[in-house]
Amino acid sequence: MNEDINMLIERFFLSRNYQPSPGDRLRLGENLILLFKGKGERVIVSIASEKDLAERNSLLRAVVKAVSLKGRADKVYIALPRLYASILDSKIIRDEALGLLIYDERGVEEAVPAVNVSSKNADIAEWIEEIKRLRREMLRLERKIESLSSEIQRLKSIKPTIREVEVKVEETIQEVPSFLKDNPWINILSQRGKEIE
Amino acid sequence: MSEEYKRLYTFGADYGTSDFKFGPIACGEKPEIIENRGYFPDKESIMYRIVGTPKDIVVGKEIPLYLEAREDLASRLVYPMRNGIIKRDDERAWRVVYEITRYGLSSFRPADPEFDGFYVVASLSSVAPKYMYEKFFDIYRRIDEEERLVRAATIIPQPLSVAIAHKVPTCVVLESGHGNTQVCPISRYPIRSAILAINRGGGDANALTAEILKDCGYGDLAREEALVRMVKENIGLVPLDLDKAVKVARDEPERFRAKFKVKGTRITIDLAENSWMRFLIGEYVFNPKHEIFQSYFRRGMPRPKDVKVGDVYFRGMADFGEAIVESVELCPIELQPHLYRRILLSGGNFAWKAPEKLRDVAIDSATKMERLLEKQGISDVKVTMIEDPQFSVWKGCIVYGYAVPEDYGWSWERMEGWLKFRE
Repeated sequence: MNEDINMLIERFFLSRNYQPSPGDRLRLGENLILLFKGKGERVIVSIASEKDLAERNSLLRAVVKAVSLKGRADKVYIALPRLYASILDSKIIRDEALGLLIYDERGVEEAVPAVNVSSKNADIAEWIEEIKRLRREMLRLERKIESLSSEIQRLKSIKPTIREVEVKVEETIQEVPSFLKDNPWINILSQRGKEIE
Repeated sequence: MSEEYKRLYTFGADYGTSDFKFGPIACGEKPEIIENRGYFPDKESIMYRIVGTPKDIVVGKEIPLYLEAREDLASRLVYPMRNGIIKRDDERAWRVVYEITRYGLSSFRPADPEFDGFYVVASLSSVAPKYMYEKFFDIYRRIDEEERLVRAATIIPQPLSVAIAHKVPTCVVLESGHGNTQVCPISRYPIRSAILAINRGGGDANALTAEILKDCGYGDLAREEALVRMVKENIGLVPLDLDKAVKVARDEPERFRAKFKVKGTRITIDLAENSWMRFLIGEYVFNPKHEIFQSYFRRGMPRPKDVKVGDVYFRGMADFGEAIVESVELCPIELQPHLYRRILLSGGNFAWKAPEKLRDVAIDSATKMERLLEKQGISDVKVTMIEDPQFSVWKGCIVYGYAVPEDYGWSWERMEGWLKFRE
């Protein structure tokens, strides 16, 4: 049966353009590990057979082992018999960025796709870089504000000399109606607000 | 916004008793004019059931198209500005004001894509209470929210507009309309604490004219208000001295004979030997305290009463000379001589003819005012009847909006400046 499972899983990955990696199988404790390469990434599949899962807590152990493989490949799958897969909460798998393959004699099915851990790490690295850049920008702006603030203080201390220029408002109008022409109210009203200050 | 923008889009709005005069500075010498009224069509009318429901309210030039010959026409046709004051809770009147204002502003919406609202200068009666200012600002705010037509608004008293339009910075403006008369001293600002209101206007002269028509045998015509007004305007005279004028007219009835043919009808009114009564009409406008009017009051003609409208106290029987003196004496003493030197008469109630052949006893309004002030001991006066009374308030609004700086914000304390509804 184990050989059949291996073949089914191999076929599953071959159909998705992955190739078995040299030294593509090894055993880790009770679980068999398969390695695949393709699409620029490395994939590990940790297979737990019904026999492997016969003992109490063996399912939990299988998951823990699969988690321990993260970092050795870009994606890590755990392959479980259909019967056991149904009693495992897929949220745990997703939270750990693992993938879940379920199998029986008819074939293999991808229940939870694995997350490319290295690309996720790359995203985090990018974010860290962005935060660093923003921090540098903030420091630059802080320095700029400080220099502007001292410039304002300096300008405040200088008393400007203003030359008053009287502008006749009427002169700015072309072809004005008769009631605007030579109307003393224009100069009176244009001072509104200024005389109070 | 810049000063240039404000000057380009200054908009004047004169809310007169009968007419609403409005338009931007680009109108030149004459604004647009519609009657200050709104018509609330009867939506239950069978005609509207057939041709479709009309608007809730109709304003502007299309009102005649909606008028119905119905008994309740008077209640459906609302003139909001009677006596210059709108009651706070008169919802129909405020609805009319909103509609005519929106009509006025919309009809001058410029095509310029840079246009972002007018700088509106509205002019109200000098006795308009503060809540009216608040209500008007609410109306402008609402119109701006709906149509982005009002960048800023301000409100000024009508007498100030008159003084501005006539280029006189220090003066007393006596504005007399249909319902009341306002005395407003101005010295670069309206002196609000010295404004005086008189509960007497052209309507009271109409009432006296109706009594005269009754006494002369035309009682049936005296009920027609429009006709009474025409008679008043055509035969009324302002006497230099009432007692003397009556005596001369009685002695020479033919020279003073008042005969008026109503145009387009067969009606002719002839006061014949009672033609001396035409002097009563003019005298009553200026001075209802003459003993000759007592007999009319005794016979039931309503005596102009002292009333309080809103926060404003209107005097009933004060003669115009007394009223001016009382108002000016509320101003600083140093200013008083300057105020007496320029008195501007404004409003239809001063439009009296003084025929050349009757000049020995009949005078114009300006001369009458000078005489009344002389009686009060004021001699160095110059009274002027304003030219172009119909549009002078609008012109004053335009000058005000043109000149007052764009950044001078509205102050409820000073009651002037621009109130802006958005940044």
